[in-house]
Amino acid sequence: MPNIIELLKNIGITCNSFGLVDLDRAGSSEWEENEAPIERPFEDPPPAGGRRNVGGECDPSTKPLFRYFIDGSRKTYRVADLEHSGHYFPLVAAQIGVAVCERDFDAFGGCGMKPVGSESEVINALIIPSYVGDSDIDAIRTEVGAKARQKFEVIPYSTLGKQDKSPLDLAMAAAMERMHDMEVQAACNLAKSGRLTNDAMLVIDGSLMFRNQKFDIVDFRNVIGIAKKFKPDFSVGDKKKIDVGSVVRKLGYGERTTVFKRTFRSSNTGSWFLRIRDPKMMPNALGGVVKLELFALEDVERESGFDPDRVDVISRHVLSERNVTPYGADDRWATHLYPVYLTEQYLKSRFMSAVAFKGMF
Amino acid sequence: MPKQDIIGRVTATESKPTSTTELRFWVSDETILRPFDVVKIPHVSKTKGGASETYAIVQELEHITDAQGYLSGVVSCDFGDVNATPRNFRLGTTVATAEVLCNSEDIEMPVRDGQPVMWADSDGVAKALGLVGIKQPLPAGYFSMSNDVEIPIQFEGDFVVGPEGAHVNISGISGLATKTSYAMFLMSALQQKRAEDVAMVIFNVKGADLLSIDKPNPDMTEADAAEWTKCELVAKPFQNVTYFYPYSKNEQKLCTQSRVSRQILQDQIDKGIAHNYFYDIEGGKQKLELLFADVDDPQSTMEQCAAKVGEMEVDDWADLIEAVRKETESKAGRPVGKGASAEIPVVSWRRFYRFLRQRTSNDIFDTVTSTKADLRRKKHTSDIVKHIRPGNVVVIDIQPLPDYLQCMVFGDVVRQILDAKLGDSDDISQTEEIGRVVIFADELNKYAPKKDGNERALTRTMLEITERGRSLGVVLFGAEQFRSGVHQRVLGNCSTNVLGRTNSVEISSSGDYKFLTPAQRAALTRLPKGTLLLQHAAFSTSTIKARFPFPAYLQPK
Repeated sequence: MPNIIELLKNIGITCNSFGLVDLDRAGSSEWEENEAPIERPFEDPPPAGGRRNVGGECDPSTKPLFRYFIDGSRKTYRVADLEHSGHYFPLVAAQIGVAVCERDFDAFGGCGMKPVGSESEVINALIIPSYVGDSDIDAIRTEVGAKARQKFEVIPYSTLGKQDKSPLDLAMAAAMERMHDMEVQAACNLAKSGRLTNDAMLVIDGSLMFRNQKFDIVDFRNVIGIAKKFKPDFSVGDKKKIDVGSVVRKLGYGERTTVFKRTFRSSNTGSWFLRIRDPKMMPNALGGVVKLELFALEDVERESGFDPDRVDVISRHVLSERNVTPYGADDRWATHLYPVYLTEQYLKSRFMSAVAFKGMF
Repeated sequence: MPKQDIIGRVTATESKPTSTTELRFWVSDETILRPFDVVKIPHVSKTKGGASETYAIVQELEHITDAQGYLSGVVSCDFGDVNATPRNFRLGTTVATAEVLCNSEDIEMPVRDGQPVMWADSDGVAKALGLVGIKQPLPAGYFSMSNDVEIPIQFEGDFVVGPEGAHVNISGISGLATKTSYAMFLMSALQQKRAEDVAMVIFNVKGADLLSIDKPNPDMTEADAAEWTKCELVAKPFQNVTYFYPYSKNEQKLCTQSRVSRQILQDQIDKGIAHNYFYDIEGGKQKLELLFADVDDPQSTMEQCAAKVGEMEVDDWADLIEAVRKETESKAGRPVGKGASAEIPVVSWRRFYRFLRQRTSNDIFDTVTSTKADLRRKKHTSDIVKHIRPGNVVVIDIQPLPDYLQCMVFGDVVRQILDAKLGDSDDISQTEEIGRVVIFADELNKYAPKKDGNERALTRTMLEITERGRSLGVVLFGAEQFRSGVHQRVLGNCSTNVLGRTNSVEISSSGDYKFLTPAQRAALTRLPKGTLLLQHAAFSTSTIKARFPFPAYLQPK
């Protein structure tokens, strides 16, 4: 059975084999936070001093608030260089996936986690610049679809107005977009099927600020984004703005910041920071702090901000999720909630090895 | 009911691949498994589109998690707070290591990763363990798995009492009623299944344990009896038993030194199945080398003295002692190095004399008497062999005797059995009539100790049994606390080895347990009562963990 490079050559595309180069950067699956600046405190009433203790973790007998966990991931490789209509560009191939896991200690036993198979998916993708042209892209789809050993999705990306960007970065961004499509689709499916309730929430690994995905924000009523990392040089505050790093640095264990409003695609979100590890045990001042994000859906929320009690309850549940940890297995252990870590592991276990993937080229 | 559900899946990794002999599988959370359980795994087939079945026996179970080290646990409890209660449970699984036993199509390819693992059913277990196709089945206990499947275990009789193989060795620490009980169970099986050609000789060395084996056990419950049924045997005491006790001049004790209860003894006397053995001078003086089997004799002078004494013409034991005493006197002018007596130094005679005088003081060294025959019930040890016939059991009580006399009686009887089988007996007809003879010897280390210099007469006899007995039809069932204390050639000739609970010092210091896996060695230190590991030439695995039933004969408390 011919490999992908041979198939492309068969339809007249000049390919120069490049070997398989891993393009991924560690921990780059979170959303880049450079489009929706933090505006002002978004909590009614805001805590004095801009931070408050959430009241400790939940009682161990309390039923966990978070039942579903989504993680998206992708592996991108530069597999060849292509020549087409005077352009010379990299052919990027990727495995892109999303996994959803459900947690129910009573029902599942063991670690209490089971994948939701219907919402978990891994695809293979060829990421090609759109200047190759629709006809040739269709030809590639047809040839690869008919003859490749495995199914491949062809994802075109536009270079229009982005001449200053590297083709590799654009291709990786396209892979990321496809991953977010899958994440949003999975979250919406869960909501529409009635599985998400106010005591069975979904945790998305990362930010909720999906740039290009279209979805009904109501489906995100019971969805929380929990980011393992954040940019510390974002300015927050109402009148006197200071960088978020300065605010977060002062948080003690079990303390959170006030909720900050961010407007994103005409929707309001509330973001706050919660310290889930004793700062004395962290290697740096911002270690052990997660960023939490919710859409403001109720009228009162949209107008006045979030209810501090609700924010505290959610925060206490997040605090309870801090243990056990993937310490030793993942450098991000201090903020990597274990159910999310397991979901990520499940997803990665479904990816082909680099060697096997390379074998298709 | 056996479960047919998938209980796990095979896992083959770079560092722990499956092989032709070993595989690993992770176990579902709800499955309870233990070492020695047998599982089956679908495998490739020689037929296109078909599937074969590979069987494997669990050796070890390990629980693993994704924790990279102990610190993962510490950190996950808020950096060492023992009272912390983590909300999440760590991802973990139990991984079983299993030894590959067989494949239904004799395929020896390693099992593939991800294959489902299921319980083996009864037929599968029997086939996997090599328990099918046995020509002369001899019940050996039963095998019990975690899913409640129980199957009878059978030895290949031809490998227990010959001619393919022979001899059984049973080891294990005392106090668990395992070694002797298992030997008796096996002999009960022989009597029930091979009465037509197997006779048994049992030496009683502990209390009165084996002195009422023809009486039913009043403590036997229905559940106990059911265990006998599982082994395809009937819970019943031994039949056709004759007892031989060491003679005593004390008529108040019914002329025996035995500790058997008076009531039981009287009952046996009434039935005519209790006799007292003794040595008269004529027969006894020929066997004196056995009397000194435990004496350190690097130059073999004791043996030379014993041989010389055998030629002396004396009327009774007192005469013999006097004759030997005379040899201890220095004789001026006696040529040194010439003549039979001159070959043995006087100092050796003196040593021999001391031992002889002390060791023949027991009542079993007596004269032939004509009176009170019914009370004394005296029999020469040579008469014991006449009671050894197929289907019969002869119990010889040597417990009351000191060690050196136990060795003498044991060696004497065994020698006579060998002589009878070899046709050296005075009574030629015995060779045919005696059948195959199983000799049960507890504390085998006493009769065949680990080699530490010259072989003693008794050890030589034991070696002769284990090395020639298979073809002669003389079979040794030996038992001892520690295998390390028994002669290697005796152990090496046993086609069947039975291991009861053993202490860790013995296991770690002796090479006799190297054939076991580490998990099996660990299991050996904690085997419960009534459970042991069987190693048998006809099995297709190194060991099978077996249970056997409670004795069906009376055991005096």
